[in-house]
Amino acid sequence: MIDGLAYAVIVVSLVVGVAIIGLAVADRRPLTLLAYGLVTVEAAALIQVLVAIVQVVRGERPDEPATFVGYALTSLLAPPVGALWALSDKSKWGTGAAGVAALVLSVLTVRMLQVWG
Amino acid sequence: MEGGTSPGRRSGPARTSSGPGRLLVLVYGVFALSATARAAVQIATKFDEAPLAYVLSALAAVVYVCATVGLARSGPGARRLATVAVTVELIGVLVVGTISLAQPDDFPDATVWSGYGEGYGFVPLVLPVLGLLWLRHTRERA
Repeated sequence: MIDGLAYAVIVVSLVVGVAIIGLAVADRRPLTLLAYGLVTVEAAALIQVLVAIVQVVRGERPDEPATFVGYALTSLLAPPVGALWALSDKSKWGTGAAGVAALVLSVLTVRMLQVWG
Repeated sequence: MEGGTSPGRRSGPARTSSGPGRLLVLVYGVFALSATARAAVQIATKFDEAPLAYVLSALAAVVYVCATVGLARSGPGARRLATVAVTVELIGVLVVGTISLAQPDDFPDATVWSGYGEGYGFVPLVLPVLGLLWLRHTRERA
């Protein structure tokens, strides 16, 4: 993992997550904006995992390989699956849950940094 | 599952997956996924180091999966599954939390419920309370 990239991913997912929760609190649901935000989060997760794969190919190894792979896969799947499921509820709670799905990536990234070593 | 759709369904209990329940199920889903992954890694790679802690990790994972499925689905069976799972979860976090503080030697490696879930921002302690309140709230609307 590259620390600077990981911090950027954490910031992106925090900003998008908090912004979506803010929209939910205001009882607004701009679907295009939500889609842009959630796609950005997924792109950040994807870039981070691709960079980690490149590092592993070049010989670097995480301290806890199995755990790292688990978190890496979760970081790709949990935000989009969680957000899609959340948005299928039309209430503001559904919108807010999509924001939480984005925040999950920041937590996972912190854990990925820890188990990378 | 009962056959056919009954038109009188509207008078039944509210769905546990709607509104605030959507957020609750999402958080449960994240815990189900991470607890399952964590337990699988612990048991597969270092079971001998702390068998009790890892068996409890696996139990916690099963409980979170059952709670997620129970809350996400509708119907009396799902509600019963969710109620049992969330109750076991509350007892689990209280018992394991207490033992982990009283007998730390038994827990050389952390489980989700160690120290009342302090490693997870005490979410494991708050979640079952919210879950039980939500199950009661949606039942009262019947």
